[in-house]
Amino acid sequence: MELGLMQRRLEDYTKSLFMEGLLDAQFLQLQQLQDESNPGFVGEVVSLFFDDSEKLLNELTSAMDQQIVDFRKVDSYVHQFKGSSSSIGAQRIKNVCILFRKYIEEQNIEACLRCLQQVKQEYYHVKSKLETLFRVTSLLNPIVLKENLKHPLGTDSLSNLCQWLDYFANTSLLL
Amino acid sequence: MGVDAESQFHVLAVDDSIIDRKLIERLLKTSSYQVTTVDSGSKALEFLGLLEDEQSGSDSPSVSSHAHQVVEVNLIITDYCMPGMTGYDLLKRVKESSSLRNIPVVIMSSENVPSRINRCLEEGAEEFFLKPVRLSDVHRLKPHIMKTKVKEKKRGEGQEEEREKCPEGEVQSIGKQQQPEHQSSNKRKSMEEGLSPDRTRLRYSDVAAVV
Repeated sequence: MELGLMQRRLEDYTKSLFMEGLLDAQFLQLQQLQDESNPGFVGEVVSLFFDDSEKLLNELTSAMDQQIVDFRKVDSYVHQFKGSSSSIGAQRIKNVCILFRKYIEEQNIEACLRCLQQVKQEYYHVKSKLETLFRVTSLLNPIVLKENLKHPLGTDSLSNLCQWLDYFANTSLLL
Repeated sequence: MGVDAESQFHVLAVDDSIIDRKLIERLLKTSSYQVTTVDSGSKALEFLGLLEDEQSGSDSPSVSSHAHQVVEVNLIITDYCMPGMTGYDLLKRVKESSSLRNIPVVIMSSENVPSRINRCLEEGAEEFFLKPVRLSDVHRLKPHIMKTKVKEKKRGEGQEEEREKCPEGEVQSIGKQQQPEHQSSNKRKSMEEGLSPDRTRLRYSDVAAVV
């Protein structure tokens, strides 16, 4: 059955995110808090995280760009980012933030700039993975699925979806 | 009021992070609490009816000067690190207030700093949760709320419910004494053991992630 296969592929994809260390157990906690009464919970939290993070990264970039870097300010931003990434289970971001704070304490500008680069990379990486995950998940949603089946393309779109999921799992590109 | 108050406890959650507010709200609602979230200590005090005494403002919106706690709050859970008023500052203000000091306060923090934890517990916090907060942490809230409810019921039976009028001495004897002995083992947990042992990290093989 196409659906079962897709479901499995999705689970494998999610699993791979954990295996890569992109996500940790906190993400599972979020999933556990999602149910029929709150079906969009994980998506909402992650969405908030994206918005919040973009703002933080802009502030951080600007703060690091100053002639005289205000390390306390920078630390405050990194602390926030560490907190929010930890809250959604974005492990790699959190770990870079921990390192980042060490260099802030040492007032090592070079190392801080490297960390800023790294934290951005990690952020965009996990963002792309999560967006893929949510996109495919919403397509698996039974109601949406029924709509797809009604569409002239019908089951073709399902098998395309499988191949597509494979493709994304391998290349981590956004739709 | 006077309706089955036992069935719905009201928790005030304070955190400057929108993500953490969303998370704590969900955790609390899942555990059947009524929840109000605010993003700062000063907003918390305002909600609790405390600030308007100090404000020169007639700007102060809904709370009238005599109706402290228009909405009853059974527990306050607050982040430690917040700009402006920290969770610790908020804790102090609550515990210094004759009308609010019986409300149990729980502190959350992303950092495991023993001296910080100690300070909070000594100031009267019931528990100190390490972030990210989990359901198992939220399950630990009930006893603190119940303890207060029992106290209030007893007081209500004996005298006027007017918290403002309660002589300082009496309130103190009910509130503070019992805490140190009874609770120390729980509270020390997060400090001595770092992360609590019941927070087992899931192994990857356990992942059967159904999104």
